[in-house]
Amino acid sequence: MKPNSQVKAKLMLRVGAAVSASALVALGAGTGTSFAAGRSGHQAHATHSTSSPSGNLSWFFWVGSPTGVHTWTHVASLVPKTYPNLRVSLTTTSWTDYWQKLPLEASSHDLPDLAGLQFGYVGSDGSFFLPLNTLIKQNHYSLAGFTPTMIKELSVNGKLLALPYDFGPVVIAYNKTLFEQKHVALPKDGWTWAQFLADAKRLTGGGDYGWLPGQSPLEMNYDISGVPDAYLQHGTFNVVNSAFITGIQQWAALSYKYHVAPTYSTAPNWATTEFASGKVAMEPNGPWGLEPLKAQSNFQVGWVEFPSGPHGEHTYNEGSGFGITKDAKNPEAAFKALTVMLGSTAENYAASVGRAFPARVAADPSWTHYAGEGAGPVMYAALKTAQPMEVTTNWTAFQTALSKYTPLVLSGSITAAQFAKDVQAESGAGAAVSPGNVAPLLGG
Amino acid sequence: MALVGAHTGKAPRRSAGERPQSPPLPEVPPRRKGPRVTLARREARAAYGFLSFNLTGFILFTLIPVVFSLYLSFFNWPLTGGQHTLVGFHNYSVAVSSFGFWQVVINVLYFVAAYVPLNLVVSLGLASLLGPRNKTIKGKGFLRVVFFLPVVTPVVASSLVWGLMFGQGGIINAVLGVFGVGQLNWLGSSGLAMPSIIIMSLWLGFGYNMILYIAGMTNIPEDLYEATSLDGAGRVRQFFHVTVPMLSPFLFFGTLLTLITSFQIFTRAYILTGGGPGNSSTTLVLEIYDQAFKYFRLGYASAIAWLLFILILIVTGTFYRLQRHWVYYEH
Repeated sequence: MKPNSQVKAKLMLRVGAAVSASALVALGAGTGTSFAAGRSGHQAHATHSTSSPSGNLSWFFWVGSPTGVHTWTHVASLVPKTYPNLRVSLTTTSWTDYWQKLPLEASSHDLPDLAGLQFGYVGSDGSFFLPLNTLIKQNHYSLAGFTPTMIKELSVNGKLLALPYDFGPVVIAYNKTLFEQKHVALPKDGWTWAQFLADAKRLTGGGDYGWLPGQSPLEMNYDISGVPDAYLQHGTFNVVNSAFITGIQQWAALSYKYHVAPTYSTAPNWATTEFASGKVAMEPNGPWGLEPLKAQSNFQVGWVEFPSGPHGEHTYNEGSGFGITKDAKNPEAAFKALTVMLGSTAENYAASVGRAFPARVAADPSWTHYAGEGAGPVMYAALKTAQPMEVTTNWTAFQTALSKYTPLVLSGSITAAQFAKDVQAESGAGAAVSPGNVAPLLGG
Repeated sequence: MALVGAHTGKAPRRSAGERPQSPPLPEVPPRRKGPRVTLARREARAAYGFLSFNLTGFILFTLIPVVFSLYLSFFNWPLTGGQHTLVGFHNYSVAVSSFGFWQVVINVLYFVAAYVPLNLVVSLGLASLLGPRNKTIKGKGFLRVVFFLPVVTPVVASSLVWGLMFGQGGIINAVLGVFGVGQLNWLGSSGLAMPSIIIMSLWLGFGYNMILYIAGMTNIPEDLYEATSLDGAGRVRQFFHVTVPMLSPFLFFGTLLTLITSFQIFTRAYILTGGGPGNSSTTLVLEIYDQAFKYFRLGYASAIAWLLFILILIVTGTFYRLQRHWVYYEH
């Protein structure tokens, strides 16, 4: 080896060793930091209590559009206006990714301080959240302003896991412009399945379709079968039953038999994009879907309740909220932040920009004003009979199985009975998640 | 240096058998105390220095996770909550006795059986067209770049674009419509989902092997073609009796890598079909991902990962042993 090469080799040796050592130290430090944060968080649970909260809180939430990011960033900015030393930093991701990232963060004890929770995930992901009952009691916080339905939907065994921010019934959103172009009378509440099918057929043609199957086969299952939560039999998960199969059969027939729906796709945001394109006349949706729809489409949106089948008109009530996670470093401060993020000002703001039909019912007019003529009465009428959807412990697996087999049943490749068998086999065992007794929370 | 012959510039003359007189040596500074470091050891240290970058990354991000995944595979290990219980080979026995697992294995074998030969044919065909012996095609450099571009395109982006192309009203159905073919549900039909992934994979993957084979063709001596030409061999015969044997080490390498990566296909299936409809396009890595991050069964997912490793080991091992029958090494 030449002297020059030796010097170079020594230099490389030193640099290599330094880089390797740095990598190891950085990894160790990172791990240590993570563990330390987890530990300090747990310590804070027991010791921290202050009337003037301070610090920086992290908030993780799903968002479907850039305007959604803007809306929730504004909501976060309201916190320091009430608590000057408290900041909330928002991190967002898509709906699908959210439910995969949250468990990963929970497994590494690295959950953010605040996170969103949809009613469907209280069974599978509810354990990541801190029950709010004690904080509500300690802070003398009143839940009277919120719709009791959502307090129930976000509770497990009497423990409230999140304060609700929105709710709403699943109804039909329709493209008024397309109805007018096709000279079809606008649908009205109280219409029947026969009228619905006749309209869908008349609206189909020339590249347009009367109907879009929507986000989930469960949305119309109750309306068609007349049985709520037909995926449960005596509290146990079981979709192989006549009510569930009938609901799937009639829903799928709109696609494979009557051909009033476009070919189903599993592409991300397909339903939203397809309906927003203006080539589909109707789809199942809720008030949460209006803001992204308005942002992407250029037609007038109308709303109507589900058509009445042989068992009458039925729908579900769905909603979401914000909770404090088990890794929150300062739950007391996080609760203070929640009270602002779900206060009247924040709820009215989110409703006024269309992001939420507020769970704080006094703020509902802000959404109906945003939605325009006719939307409010339809929502209020549907809410009178809408029921909360009962969720199961295997909800994530159930939803995955539904999405896997939906294209096959919609195309007629498999029957509704086979669909039920396949979904049952893939979803694994499950049981109903009981909200328990929430009366004490509501002051009952 | 001022040693011998410093004044004259010549070495001092000496008679035969005379022991050379050692000139007085300048004073050498005493050696530093400590162990004597041999050249080999110094070189070894340097080698480790160079290697340490890669070795650190390999240990931290490959070796430890791989060993840990083997450990996990013997446990019932839910991602969140729950007890981590030792279950021995239970995860392996559940996998091999489940219909779903074998359905996924068949999906992967279907993909490999269709994609690897197609990739070989297309990449070798294009390498022949754009290789050094073809003088008729102009702009070969440009065409090579064009065909190689998909390799350097992010898979996620290209999968999303292909998703649009396969969709209802997409360009593929539009082109087929010109020939009277009706709208095909490429991604939503269990019969077409896997062929869609194969078509997209072919577009994405042939460029690498094409460049590899072109590089191999440049090393084939021209006199072999001249000799066979004098013997009356045509272009086709030259291709099969000169090009292919001489290119066989490259064909072996390219096919081996394609084979391994085919068993590991994930991103394209995840984005294009999500493994559906049903399980018709679920691949083994997608199944591992679903089990780990949708159903949160880390132990079971790890067991499938090791079964995949064994499958790849068997197939590639067999392929490796078979090379003696068809790979021609000149030296």
